[in-house]
Amino acid sequence: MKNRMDGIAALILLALCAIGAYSTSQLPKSHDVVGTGSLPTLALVGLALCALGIFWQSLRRAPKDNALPPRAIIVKVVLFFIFFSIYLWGMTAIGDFFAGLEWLPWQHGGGFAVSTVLFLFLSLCFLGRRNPWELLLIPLLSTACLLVAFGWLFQIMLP
Amino acid sequence: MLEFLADVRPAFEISALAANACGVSLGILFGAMPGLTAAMGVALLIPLSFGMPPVEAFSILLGMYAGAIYGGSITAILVGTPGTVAAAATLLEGPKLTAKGQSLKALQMATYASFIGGLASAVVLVTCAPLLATAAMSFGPAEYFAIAVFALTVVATLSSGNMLKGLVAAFAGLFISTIGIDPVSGDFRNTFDVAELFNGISIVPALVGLFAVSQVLLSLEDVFMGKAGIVKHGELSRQGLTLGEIWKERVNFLRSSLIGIVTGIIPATGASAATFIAYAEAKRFSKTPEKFGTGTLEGVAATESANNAVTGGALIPLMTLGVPGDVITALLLGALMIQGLSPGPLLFQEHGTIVSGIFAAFFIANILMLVLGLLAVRVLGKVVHVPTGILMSIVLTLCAIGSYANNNAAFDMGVMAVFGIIGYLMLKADFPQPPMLLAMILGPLAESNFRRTLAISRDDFSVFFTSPIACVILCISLAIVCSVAWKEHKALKIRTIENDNTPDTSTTAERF
Repeated sequence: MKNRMDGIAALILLALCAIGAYSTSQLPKSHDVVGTGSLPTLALVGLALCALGIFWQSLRRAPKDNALPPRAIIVKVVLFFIFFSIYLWGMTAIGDFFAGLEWLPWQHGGGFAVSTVLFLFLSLCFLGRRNPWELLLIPLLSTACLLVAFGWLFQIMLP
Repeated sequence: MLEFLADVRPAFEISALAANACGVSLGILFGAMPGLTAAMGVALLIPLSFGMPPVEAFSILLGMYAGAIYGGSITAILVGTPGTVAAAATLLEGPKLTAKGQSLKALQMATYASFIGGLASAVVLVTCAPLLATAAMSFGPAEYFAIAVFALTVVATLSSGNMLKGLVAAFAGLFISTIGIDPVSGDFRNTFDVAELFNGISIVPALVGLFAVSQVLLSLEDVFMGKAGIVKHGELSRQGLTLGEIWKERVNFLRSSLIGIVTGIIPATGASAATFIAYAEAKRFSKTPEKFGTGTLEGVAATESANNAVTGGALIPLMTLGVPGDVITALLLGALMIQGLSPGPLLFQEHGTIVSGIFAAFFIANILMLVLGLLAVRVLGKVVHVPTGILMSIVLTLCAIGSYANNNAAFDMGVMAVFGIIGYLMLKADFPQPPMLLAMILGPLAESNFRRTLAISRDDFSVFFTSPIACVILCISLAIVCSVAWKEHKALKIRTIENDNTPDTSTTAERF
C-alpha cells in the first residue's frame, strides 16, 4: 500500500457504511418508488463506491506530502481532546450537582463557571504557560466575561 | 423611495449597527490573528446570532465575513504571515513594503482597497441578485432539486485536489442529513433509538465542530511543536498614504474588484485564486512591472480589492439560488436556514424586506470596515502577539457554550465534540469539509424536492429531462464531474510517468 492513511480511511469508511446499511435495512418498507430508505441507501452506495475508489488509489498513488506530525504530538493532541471532552461532560455533571443543592442562591451557571475556570487553568498549564498571573487571571476573567455575555446578556440557562 | 427606506431601516437601527460594528471588529481580529480563521469566526457567531432578528444576525455575520477577509492583510504586511488564505497574495508585496519602512502606507492601501472592492461587490450584489432571482422565479421542485445537485457537485468536485474525497465528504453529509424524521413519511430514520437524534443532527454544533474545533486541534499541533507564536514584528512606519497615491490606483481598484466579483460568483473558486489573478493582471497592465515583487503599493491594491470583492460576488449565487461559493457562504447558508429563511428566488418574493436589510447591512459592514480598519492598524500589530495557546483555550470554551446555547442541550456539546474530531481527521487525511456541511444542509432540500417532483409527475423520472432548466443544470453538473475526473486522471498519468523517470537515489537502507 503506497498511501497508508488513505487506505485506513477507506477501510474505516467501509466499516461505517456497513453500520449504516444495517440501520437502513431496519427502515419500514415503502410502496412509493422513492421511499424512506432511498436517500440513505443512495448515500451509502455512493460512499461505499468512493471508499473503494480511495482504497484502490491508496494502492497505486503515493501521498503528495506527509501531513502527519510526530507521534508524540498526535498523542498530546488526543490527550488534550480527551481533556476537552471531560470538560464538556463535567460541565453538565457539576451543573446537575449544583441544581440539586436547594440552598444555593443560583440555579444556573454554576457548572459552567467551575468547569470553565478549571478547564482554562489546566489547559493553559498543559499548553506550557507558566506565568502565575496568566494562570490565575485568564481563567477567572474569561469565565466572568462569558458568564456575563451568555448568562446575563443572551439570557441562556447555562448548566 | 419611502418603501425602500422602510425596507433598509432595520439595518440602520442601533442594535443592528452595534452588531455590525461588533462583527467587523471581531472579524478584523480573527482575520489578523494567525490560527483564527474567518470560517471559524462565522461558525462561532452563528449560535450567538440564532436568537437575533434576521437583519441583526446577518449584520454581525456579514461584518465578520468582510472584516476577517480584510484583517488577514494586516499580519501579512506587518509580520509576513497571512492571517487568512485570502491574504496569501498580499505576502508578495506587503512584507517588502514593511522592510522599506512603508508599512503604514501598505496597511492604509490595503484598507482602502478592501473598502473599494467590498463596496463594488455590494453594488453588483444589489443590482444583479434581484434580476437573477426574478429570472429564477419560475423554478419548481424539479429545478430546485437540480440546483441542490449542482451546488453539491460543484463544491464536492472542486473544493479538493481529489474528487473522490470531496464526494466521500458529500455522501457522508447526505447520510448524516437523513438522521431523524423522514420529511415526507414521518418515519424515524437511522436514529439508533437515541431520543436526542429523533429531530436529527443540529447544524450549529456540527458546523462549530467541523470548522472551529478541528482548526483549534490543528493549531494545537503547532503549539506542541513550539512553532506557534514565533512572529517577527514589523515596525509601523509614520508616513501615511497620500490622496494622489490612492487616485493613481483607481483603474487597478476597479479591474481587481471586477476580477474578485466574477471569481466570487463562480462556486468553489475562492478568494485566494482571485487575488493571484488580480495580482498577475495588475502586473501585466502596470507601467512598471519590474517593481512587482520588490514592494509596490500596486500589488497590495490589486490583491486586497480582489479578495474583498469576492465577498459580495459569492453572496449572489447564495442569495438567489442557494448555491454557496466558498466555505464561509456555506456557513451563511446554514445561518439563513437556522433563521427559517430558504435562500433562492422565493426569499426575494416572500422576505423582500429582510433581503433589503441584509444588503444594506453588507454596505454598512464595508463602510465600518474602512473606519475601524484605519483605526485598528495601529493596535493590531501588537494584538497578534497573544500566544496561540491562550487563544485556543478560550476559543474551545466559546465552542462549548455556542453549541450548548443553540438548544440549551448538553447533547449538542457532544455532537460538537464528535464533529470536531471528524473535522480534524478530515483535515489530516486531506478530505474537504465544506461538501459535508453543504450536504447536511442541502440534503433534506434535495430529497423533499425530488420526492415532490415525482409525486407531481406520478413517478415519471423523465420530468427532470423535460424541464429545460433542470435538464441544463443537471447536464452541467455531470459535465463538471466528468471534466474534473478527466483532469485528475491526466494529472495522475503525468505523475506516474514522472515517478517512473526519476532515478532512484535512495540507499538500500532507506529502501528497506
